Amino acid sequence: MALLEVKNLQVEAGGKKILNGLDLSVNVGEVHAIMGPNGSGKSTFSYVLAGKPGYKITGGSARFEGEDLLALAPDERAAKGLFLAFQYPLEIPGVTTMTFLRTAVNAVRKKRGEAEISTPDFLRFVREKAAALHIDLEMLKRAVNVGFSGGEKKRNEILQMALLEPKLGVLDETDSGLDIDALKVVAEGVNKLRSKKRAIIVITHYQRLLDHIVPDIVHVMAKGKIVRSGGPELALELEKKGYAAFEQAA
Amino acid sequence: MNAEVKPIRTPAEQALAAAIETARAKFSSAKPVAKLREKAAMSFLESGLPHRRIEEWKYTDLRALMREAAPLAPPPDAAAIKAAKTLDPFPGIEARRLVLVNGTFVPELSDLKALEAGLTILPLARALAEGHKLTGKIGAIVPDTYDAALALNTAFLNDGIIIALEKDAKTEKPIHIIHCNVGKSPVATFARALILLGASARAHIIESFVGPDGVGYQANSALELHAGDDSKLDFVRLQAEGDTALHLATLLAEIGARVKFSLHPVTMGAALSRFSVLLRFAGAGTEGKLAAANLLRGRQHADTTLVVDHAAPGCSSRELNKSALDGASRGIFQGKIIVRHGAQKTDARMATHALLLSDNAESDNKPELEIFADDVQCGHGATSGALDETLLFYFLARGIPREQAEALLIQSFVGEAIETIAHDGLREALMERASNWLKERG
Amino acid sequence: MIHLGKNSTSRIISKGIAAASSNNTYRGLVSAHRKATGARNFTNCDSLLIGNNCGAHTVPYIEAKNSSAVFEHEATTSKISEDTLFYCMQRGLSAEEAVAVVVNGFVKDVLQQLPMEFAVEAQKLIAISLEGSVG
Repeated sequence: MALLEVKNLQVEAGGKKILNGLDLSVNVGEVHAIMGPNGSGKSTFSYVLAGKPGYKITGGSARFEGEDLLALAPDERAAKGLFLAFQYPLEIPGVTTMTFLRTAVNAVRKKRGEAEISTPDFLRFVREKAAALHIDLEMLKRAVNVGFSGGEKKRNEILQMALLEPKLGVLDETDSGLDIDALKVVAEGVNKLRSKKRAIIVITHYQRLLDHIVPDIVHVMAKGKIVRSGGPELALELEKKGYAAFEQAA
Repeated sequence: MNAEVKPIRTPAEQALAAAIETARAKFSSAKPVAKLREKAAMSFLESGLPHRRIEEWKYTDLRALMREAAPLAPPPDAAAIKAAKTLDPFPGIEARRLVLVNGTFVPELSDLKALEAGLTILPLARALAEGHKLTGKIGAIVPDTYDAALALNTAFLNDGIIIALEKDAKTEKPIHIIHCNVGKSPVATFARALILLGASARAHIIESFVGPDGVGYQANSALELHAGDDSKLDFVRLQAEGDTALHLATLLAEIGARVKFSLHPVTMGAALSRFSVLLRFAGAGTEGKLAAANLLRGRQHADTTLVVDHAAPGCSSRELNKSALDGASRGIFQGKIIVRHGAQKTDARMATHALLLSDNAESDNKPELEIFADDVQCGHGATSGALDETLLFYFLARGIPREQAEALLIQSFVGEAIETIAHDGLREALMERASNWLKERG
Repeated sequence: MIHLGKNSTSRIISKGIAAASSNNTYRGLVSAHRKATGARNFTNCDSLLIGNNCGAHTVPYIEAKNSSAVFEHEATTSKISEDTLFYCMQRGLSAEEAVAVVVNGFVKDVLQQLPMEFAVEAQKLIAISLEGSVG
């Protein structure tokens, strides 16, 4: 059984059709890349997987470990092991990143029927994961994403992914707004999270992220559905030919 | 013990009551307006002049400040009209001048020729006498709270002006309403204006107030404005009354959907002035901007009281009030943003900044928010303080003398409210007035 | 907050939360008298709205009677945005936990000034009074 099985997914937002019969199957241990031009529906797909309000599912299905994902609340999906790294992480004034991380980790543990993590254990756990991402502990004392640079926000997202240990991580344009050094740090962090027990979907507009996070399977998305799938070489082909050829095919 | 105290009428209130009696006999016109006048007179007779216990007049105790009421101005004679000829505060600006002398519309001083298509201009007295249908719109905008200045204006409603712009019509040049006061003895004037903009109409309006120094005249004006859907209005206002005058003014605006509206009031004159504004956003998607500049000195007291009423969703409003206060002047700003239930996606910001240039100046600010919808962005900021010493020092260190440095800083401070005026000539003329004010400061 | 003495400093932080059908009003006077030279005040008055039947009112009176007084006042109203709730829920927090996190962040400036025991109590009280205000 695939970890994520999306069939003929159709989604509308604001009366406009955005996903138009999307099919995708992701197995545990795989890294998929979804590439596509702006407006092809990539971000919508990630939001729909995570359960963001405001989207109307008009057809199709999405199953996570065989369970109907679309019937679950966003926090239930998170507890099941679905993580979305936001393209634009939200700012939460007054709440320190540390407090937020602990609250999230414990909320997920509780829903999974696990015991809450003790404060010293948690600190050890965060310190270890943060160091791998070159995250300064001072940064964790600041309010969640408030005044963070683009790179800090994205590293904070990956840190949260590391702490929540999801079965499926969806990275929505994690490369946007990053310079090459920040990109390398983030990619390194993601690579450390690659595991036989975990799948990752990398959503990106550009090929450059895929130099650092080498996917097993590449999908090209256009006009709300996946129009072609292949190996890593597909990303290179795309880089050469551009999206226009694929859009015509859609 | 809370004994019922029947307020004793002050001399000013007694005089106003007597004037209302006389006016009742003298004015007689079409029924709806007579009724409106009578209702306002009755409310005024009942509540009298406002005092500091009336929340809206907390900082302007009119009962204490208005010692006596000047007699009602007679219609201007030939000499008065002649004297008014040279009183245009914006002589260099091409505009359609509409002149009121001591509250009476004077056609011979006004430019009523070659009106743009769809533009109607009516002397109010004549429209009332003829029972013109547009007079039915007078008194249609009713503020939430009773206001004595507006009630007095309505009780003595007799002359003024009606400007109506039909759907899609456009003013080619600004319409300039000039309120002049002339004469050597103090008189009371009550002018009323009604401006109606049809859907998609575009207008540029200037309203100015001028009069002689040293004559304690009392000018009370009210302007009602209806802006139709998709209309656009730029409104610039200059209050340059004589230095001992009492100026009470009300602006009531009912604004439709998708309107672009800007209001620039500049207050420089009068010993005691109050400008009360109600902007009611009645249609969705409207953008309103207000930027006010106040330059006060001596013992001047100026009160700007503003209510921005967001009654429809998706409107944005920006209010900026800047006051430079010198001498023993007192600058007051009361600004209230209301967001009604259901007026979601309102984006309203208000800021008031006072610059105290002397130890005896006083700044009172009351920015209020009253919010009944949750998906809104509202905020206000208020600051008051003296000129920034570190900035001054920077100027001094560059060899700029203190006076000049102060003038530059003050000019840039109030200039922020003036520089957003779209009309080049008006902007420059008002900047020059500000700069002259600073020169006179010496 | 009435400033009579020279160089006196004051600070007001008001955080109002209105949920369901409640109304919250801030009314405050800041005044500097003639002789209170160098007086300073900073006022921050924020309202958080939860749900669309509640109301927030801010009525500050700011009276500066001498030029060297420096007064600053800021007020904002905001709501807990859908996006923020979704972000928290994506990290596994339930809707109520998400609201609690945001509200605690909102009132933090005030609660952190309280002695520990009070702060803990206050936090619990907030949690109780917000129960059922979402979802």
